[in-house]
Amino acid sequence: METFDDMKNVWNKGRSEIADSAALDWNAMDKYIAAGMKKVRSSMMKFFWGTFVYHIVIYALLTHVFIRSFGDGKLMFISLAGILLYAPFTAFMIKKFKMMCNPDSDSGKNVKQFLSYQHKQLNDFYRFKKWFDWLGVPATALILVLIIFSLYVTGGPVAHPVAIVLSTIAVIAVLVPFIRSENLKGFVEPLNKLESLIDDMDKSTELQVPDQGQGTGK
Amino acid sequence: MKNTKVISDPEFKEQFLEELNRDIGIVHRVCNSFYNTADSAREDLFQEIMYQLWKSYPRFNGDAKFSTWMYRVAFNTAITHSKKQDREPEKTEFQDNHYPESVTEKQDEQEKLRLLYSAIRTLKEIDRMIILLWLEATSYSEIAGITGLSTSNISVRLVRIKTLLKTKLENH
Repeated sequence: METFDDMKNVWNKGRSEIADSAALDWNAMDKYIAAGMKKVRSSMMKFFWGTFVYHIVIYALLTHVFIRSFGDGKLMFISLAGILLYAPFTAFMIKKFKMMCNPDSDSGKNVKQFLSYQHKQLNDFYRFKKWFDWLGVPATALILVLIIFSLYVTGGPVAHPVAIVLSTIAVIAVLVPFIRSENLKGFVEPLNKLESLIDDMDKSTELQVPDQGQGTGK
Repeated sequence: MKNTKVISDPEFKEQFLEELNRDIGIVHRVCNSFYNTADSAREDLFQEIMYQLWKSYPRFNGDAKFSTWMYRVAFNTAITHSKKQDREPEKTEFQDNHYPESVTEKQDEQEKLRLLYSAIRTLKEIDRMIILLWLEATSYSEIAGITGLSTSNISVRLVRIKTLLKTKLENH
């Protein structure tokens, strides 16, 4: 292929071959739709579990402790406080999650708009998640430690303040690598990729316009 | 304007299929520009584009040509799809398979096309879209409508991409 015309000739011959052989019927289309729906559901559920697993564990644990220690005011208070602390986080996170997985996100937008929209949705959710990680994860660790000390350590949390602090730090230290890895895979890497694509599109404005007499790509 | 409520309407489905089949080659060419035909990710991308087209069709209101809308959906899906892939498909490698010494004219054309796609896949995603649209003889204003870039930007980028592509093919 020595010239651009050669490229176009090769391309056009390939074009006509595809056009001749590729018509779809409804049986094929139904399979694609079913497979596509299954894939979307599965990836959303994977993301949902990755994001909300802490919430589910916390609610299950706190409810269990609340029921089991019914009558023990201190434990009931800790578990109820935990539930009340978590409820707004969960509600807000679900709202953000729904916005991120917005079915109205129209893939018929132009590429630049689509990329910006995807970036905004993902970044909004990630910003909130980071905020939650900083506040919610230490709170979760503290609640877990308080419950364990109340249930299984003689004297309870009041008798062991230093141990409470150290145990909370230890629990946070265990959780941090998981959270970091989840954030990296689910948010940082996809956001970086989107940013590099958007930057690449913006960068084209910095290029010098050469002498081009034509108004079309034809 | 079409409505999501009529998505199961047989007439609506027929209309979609008719329009889709008229320009189905677009989807194949976009897929080939992102993945090798032997790559299972190519079939996966094709399937995902089909699903996105069907899902987005009720919102297609005829403001643009059906083919323009199809390019947008296909490119947007391909970019998101390649973003999800763990490995980068032929990001830096220009596939250099054996080029048979004795070939028929048709085989020769197919080999040239394969090389062209292979060279396109080494370009950055945005550049792949622009060169594909140029090869399809799409006007600058239509490329602008599909990508969201200005016509002057497209003009600038095309010069660079075409030269880059030509160099890749010449050095092969």
